[in-house]
Amino acid sequence: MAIRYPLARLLAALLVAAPLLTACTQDDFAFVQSLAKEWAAGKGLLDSAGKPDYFNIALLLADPSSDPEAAAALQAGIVVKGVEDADRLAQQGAAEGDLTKIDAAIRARPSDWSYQEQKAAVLAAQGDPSGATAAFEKSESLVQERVRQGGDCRNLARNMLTHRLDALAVQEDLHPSAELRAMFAETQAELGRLANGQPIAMCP
Amino acid sequence: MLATVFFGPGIWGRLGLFRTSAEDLYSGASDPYASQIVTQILIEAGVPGARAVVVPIKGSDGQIAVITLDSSAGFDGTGTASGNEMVLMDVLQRMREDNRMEMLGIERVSVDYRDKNGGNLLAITASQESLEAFSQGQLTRKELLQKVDVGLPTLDLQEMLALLAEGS
Repeated sequence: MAIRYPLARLLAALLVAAPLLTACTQDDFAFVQSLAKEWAAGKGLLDSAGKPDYFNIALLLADPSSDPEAAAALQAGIVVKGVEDADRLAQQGAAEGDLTKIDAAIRARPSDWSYQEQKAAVLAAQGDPSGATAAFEKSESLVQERVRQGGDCRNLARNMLTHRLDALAVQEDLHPSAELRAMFAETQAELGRLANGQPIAMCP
Repeated sequence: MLATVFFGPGIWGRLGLFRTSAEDLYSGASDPYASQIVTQILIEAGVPGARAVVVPIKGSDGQIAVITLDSSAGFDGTGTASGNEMVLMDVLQRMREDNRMEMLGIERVSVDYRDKNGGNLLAITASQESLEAFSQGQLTRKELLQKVDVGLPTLDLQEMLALLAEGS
C-alpha cells in the first residue's frame, strides 16, 4: 500500500483536482476522466496502450516542470502555509504587545517587510519612537532592495503602506494616541497619492 | 533512476539540501490589496473554503496568486463538472479584468489543494497569460492542459524512492 500511496495522490490530482472540482454524475465523471487522460497523455504519463507509465510518472514527481518558474509555483502553497503561520504569530504579538512573537515571525521570514511594519507599530504604541523608526526603515530597505532587483516600485510601495496602515490601525485600537493617529493619517495620505498616480517619496 | 536523483532539481529541494527557490522567490510580504480582490472573486463565485494570497515574485515586477482550496475550511469540491467549468471561467474572466483595471501585476496562478487536516495535497499552476487566453477562447481546453503543471509538493523522499522502485 505504501508503494501505491504517491500514485494514489497523483491520481487524485488527475481525477479530482485537474478540472478544479469533483463531479457527481456519471457523465460528469466521464468528462473529468477524459480531461485527466488527455492531460496525462500530453505529459507522456501513459504508454501507447493508455496504461500508466510509472517511470515517467516518477520522473514527473521528482521534477514536475522543466520550467523553473512553474516548478517554484508548485511549491508556492507550502510557502503560503509558512506565511499563514508567521502571520498568526505576528498578529498575536501585535495584539499582546509581545515583540518576541513578532521577532520570531521575522526570523521565519526575514525578507517579509510586513512583520517589520507590525514591530514598528507596536514600538510606536509602546512609546519607543526611535525603535519604531528603525523598524520602519528596515521595512523600507527590504522593499527598496526588491525594487532594485526589478520589482514594481508603486506596487511594492502600496503593499508596504497597506501593511503599515493595518498595523497602525490595530495599535490605535488598542492604545489610542495622537502619535499613532498622525502616523495613520500620513500613511493614508501616501496611499491616496499612490492611488491617484502621484509621486511619493519612495517612488518619485 | 540515477539520472532522476542526480539531475532532478526538485529532489535537492525535497532533501532539504538547499533553500528552495520558492522560499526565496516568494520571500516578500504578501500583497494585501491584491489578495483581498482575488479572494473576493472566489467568494462571489461561490467557492467555499477558498482564499487567495498574492505574493510579489523576487527579481520580477510580477506577482503570483496562490489560491488555496482548503477541505479543512469547507472546500468540498461538490458540483457538476459543467457547473464547475462555468465557475472557473467566471473566476478567470474576473481575474483578467481586475488584474488589468487594478494593475495587480499577477503573472502566474497556483492552486493549492489542502486535505481535511490542512495538509498540502497537490498543486496546479499555469501562467496568467495562458489562463487569460483560455478565458478569451484563444486557447482550447486541450491546449491549456498542456500548459498546466501539476505536482505533489509534500512528496517526501521515502514516497519518491518507493515510486522510483515501482517504476524501475
